[in-house]
Amino acid sequence: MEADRLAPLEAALEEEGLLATRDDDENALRIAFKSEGDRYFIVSYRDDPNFVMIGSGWSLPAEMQPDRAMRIANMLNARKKFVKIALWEQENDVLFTVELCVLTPEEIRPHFGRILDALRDTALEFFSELRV
Amino acid sequence: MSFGSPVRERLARFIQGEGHRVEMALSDDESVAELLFRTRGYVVSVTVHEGEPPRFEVATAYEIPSWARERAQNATVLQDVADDADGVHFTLAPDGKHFVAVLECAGLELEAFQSEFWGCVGRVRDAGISALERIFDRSESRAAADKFIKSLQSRGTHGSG
Repeated sequence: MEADRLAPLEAALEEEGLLATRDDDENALRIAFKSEGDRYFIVSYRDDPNFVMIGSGWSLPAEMQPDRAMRIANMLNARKKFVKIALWEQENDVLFTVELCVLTPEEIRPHFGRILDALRDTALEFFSELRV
Repeated sequence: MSFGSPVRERLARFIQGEGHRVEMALSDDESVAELLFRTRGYVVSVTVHEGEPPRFEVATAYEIPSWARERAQNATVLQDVADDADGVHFTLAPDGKHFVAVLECAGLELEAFQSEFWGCVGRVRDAGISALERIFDRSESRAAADKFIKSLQSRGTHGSG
């Protein structure tokens, strides 16, 4: 039976007192959780066991100008550590992700708080810039 | 959500709905409850005083490392930080090993408190971390000054010999 590669991250969430749910299928292992009301996800693909993605998705304001959001995303992509920002124009969403290559997700566990902080701070900065 | 249930239970459900496991302790007469949860590596305590309107206190405890436990100096630092901390005040433990940052939220109905909840938690966290940084800065600069003075004294002793 295949080992549950995301178990160490589920344990990290448990340790931090965060409630999480699993949504695995034949392609991927997934954890969904919230922290301070914001939704996050963790994904690992079965055909790429070294790849782990931690992220959060947000709706963009309806009146937002895509070019301006793109410029802000690009500026933050160049400046921020770890986090990648992508705009999904058709869905009108913005996705903040940290993508990692690891032998085992256990390697992520000691840095999990920092990764969440990076995601949180980047989203905060993105929307603050957007409001200016 | 039932509005007939005690405020503590509705607040606990709100925090759980925001993604955090909550533990609750209740006073004997059930007029005061303490809700505990973790966020960003810290345990946050929310004291709920049932009443009309209810009162809330958001608090986080911080440990002061042994090398920085100058009680009198830290009390001064905490007072200085509290003066600029937008309503957050600090209590230093008698043994000087911990301090608690507390924000009191009175005069708010539960719904209003919930809408400001993470802002209140953030204010307590920012004030606590700022206090801790100031304590470290003072301790480090004092340690550096002590080292410098000792070095001067030592040179003076050798020089006078």
